[in-house]
Amino acid sequence: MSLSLSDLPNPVNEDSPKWYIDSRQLAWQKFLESPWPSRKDEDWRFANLKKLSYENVRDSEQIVNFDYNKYVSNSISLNNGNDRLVFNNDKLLFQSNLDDELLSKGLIFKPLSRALAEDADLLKNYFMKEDPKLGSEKLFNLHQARQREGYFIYVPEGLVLKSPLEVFHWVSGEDAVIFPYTLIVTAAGSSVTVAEYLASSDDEFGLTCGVSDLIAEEDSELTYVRTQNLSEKAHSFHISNVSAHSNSNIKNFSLNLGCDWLRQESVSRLLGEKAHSEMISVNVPENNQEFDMRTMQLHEHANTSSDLLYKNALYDKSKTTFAGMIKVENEAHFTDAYQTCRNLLMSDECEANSLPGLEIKADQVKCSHGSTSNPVAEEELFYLMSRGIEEAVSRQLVTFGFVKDAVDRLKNPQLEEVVLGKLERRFKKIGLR
Amino acid sequence: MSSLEIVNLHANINGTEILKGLNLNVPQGEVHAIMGPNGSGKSTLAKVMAGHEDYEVTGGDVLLNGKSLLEMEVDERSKAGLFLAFQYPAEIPGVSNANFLRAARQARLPEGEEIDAVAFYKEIYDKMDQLGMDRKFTGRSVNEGFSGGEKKRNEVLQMMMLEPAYAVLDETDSGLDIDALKIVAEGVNAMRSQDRGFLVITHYQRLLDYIVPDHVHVLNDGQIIRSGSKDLALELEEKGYDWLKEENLVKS
Repeated sequence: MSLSLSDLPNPVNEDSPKWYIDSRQLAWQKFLESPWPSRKDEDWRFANLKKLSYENVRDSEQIVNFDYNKYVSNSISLNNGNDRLVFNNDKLLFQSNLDDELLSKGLIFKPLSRALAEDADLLKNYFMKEDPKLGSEKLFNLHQARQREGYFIYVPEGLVLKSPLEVFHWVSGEDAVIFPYTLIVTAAGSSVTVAEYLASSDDEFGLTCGVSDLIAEEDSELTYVRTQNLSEKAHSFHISNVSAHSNSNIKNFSLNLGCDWLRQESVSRLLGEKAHSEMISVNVPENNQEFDMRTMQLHEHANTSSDLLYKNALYDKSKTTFAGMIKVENEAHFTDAYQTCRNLLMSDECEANSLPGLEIKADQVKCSHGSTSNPVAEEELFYLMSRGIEEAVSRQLVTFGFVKDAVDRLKNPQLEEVVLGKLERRFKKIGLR
Repeated sequence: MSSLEIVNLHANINGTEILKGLNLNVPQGEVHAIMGPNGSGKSTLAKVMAGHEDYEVTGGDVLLNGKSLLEMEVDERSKAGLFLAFQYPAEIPGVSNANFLRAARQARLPEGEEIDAVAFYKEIYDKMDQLGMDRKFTGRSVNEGFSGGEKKRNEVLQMMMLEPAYAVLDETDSGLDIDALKIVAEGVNAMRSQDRGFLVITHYQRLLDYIVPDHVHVLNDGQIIRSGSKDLALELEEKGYDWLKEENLVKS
């Protein structure tokens, strides 16, 4: 049986908390009532709305034909056996056993379905509190109404996790659709790094429609790395909401390689004194891939800072749109905000759109934004070639360097290696041009 | 036996002729210095030899071991044995010095053959020690954030790693303080050998105190107007370029 996106979502487990069931129903109502984005929406300028048509998408609960062992054994990225969760089509396949000591300290790292059963009260405090701010009410509501899995990480006060936690989301089968939800909360003085990997197990069309809420309470540190390596027929929609409280530090990194079409909305709210948010994204589209990325750095408190760096290397007829807004509210004096989007044009036919924006209501702020779109600089090419490196290899070296420069900002050698490994395979596939 | 011959070389940039029939022969094992005032065509000569596409060669030839460099792509010239130490080396963000040099060495290997990474690092560290370069420079992006002196040392490091038949040093002394100049000169001198030739381009005589040339040529208005021994450099230092320019005018 196939289920289109306009059919009523399957009900969730009856034992789920009432607030959760209600929130899904409310979201479903909102989904039905809200219009699909249109050309007139400022937040959808340059977007290819023809891509937003999901008549044939099936509810992936129906797709059960997959090889359990294959996914689990392919779901190792960091080589020291970090704690991890593995999902396929929003179903948990594997969960490593957390260290007893960490459990006793109160660390939560579990699938959403289990958190709903075991930690409902805590979950409720943080669950989907952020409304979409960049024009995607329709898709956000779709996510909430159909959401059935994801994960919840809660790092209790003062706990500093040294090794990253890892989560794998596989999508498999033609027209499969998933709605993964991510909720990561670092309580006061705690620290965590989470790596989330999205990948297709085949080269079929599929849709992922996900939301990630990242909440750093006072004096805590949260690093979230999300890599997307879905099939080149897939579509992906993702919202990430950062809430940075005083003295907290959040790093939100994304890598996009796969997908025929994707939209990524990333909002950082700076909510307390000396909160800092870093937003980094690396994107390498080829062929006819379209990546649509919208960001907002929302400074709501004085003495906060944010730094955004998006780097796109575009091949063939690929297209990227970057729309970035720095918004400084009345109270947010002494804001320090940077926003940079750099596009490296690897063909004459690619298209990179940049729409940087500033909206400043406070005094004494430091805000800067800039975007560039250039082919590989002739002087760099000449320099490399003058050392005997042939042109296509030189071009690839420069391109790899271009993206690596952003990956270096992770400042975590282990994760950098994972991300760079994915990029190396990507450039190998793209080949020498 | 290798050889470098520049024969009646003419080159333009944006339609303006800069090199106007330049002739020069650098036999194997010799160090030749080219001096000249600003705008005489010194850097143009270096870039034309390396194959920079902004310059159009309208006549003449540059022959390395009898083969025309002008017929070759930029990378082929390097593999044929030419090395240019840049006056203003490019910065390549995100590409580490070590990876860059590995790629350059890899380009010289037959297809399918891989570099021995351990031996490569041993070699690069030895050479960096010789140049007084901190080993952290292997991990840093090529020339990015390097001081003027560090960039020039990095050029000499590359030269040492690539062991060219001929090296053209384009104003390698510019931006160097005296200590850095000495180290760079030591690196170059260590590379001097019977089977390697150097073309040292400089505005000032100072560099030639440390890299003592076998011959000195004066370039003015796109042509060599005087050649002599290393003493010519001293004479120039004393009398200035105008002395030769005037003399040249009188002659013609």
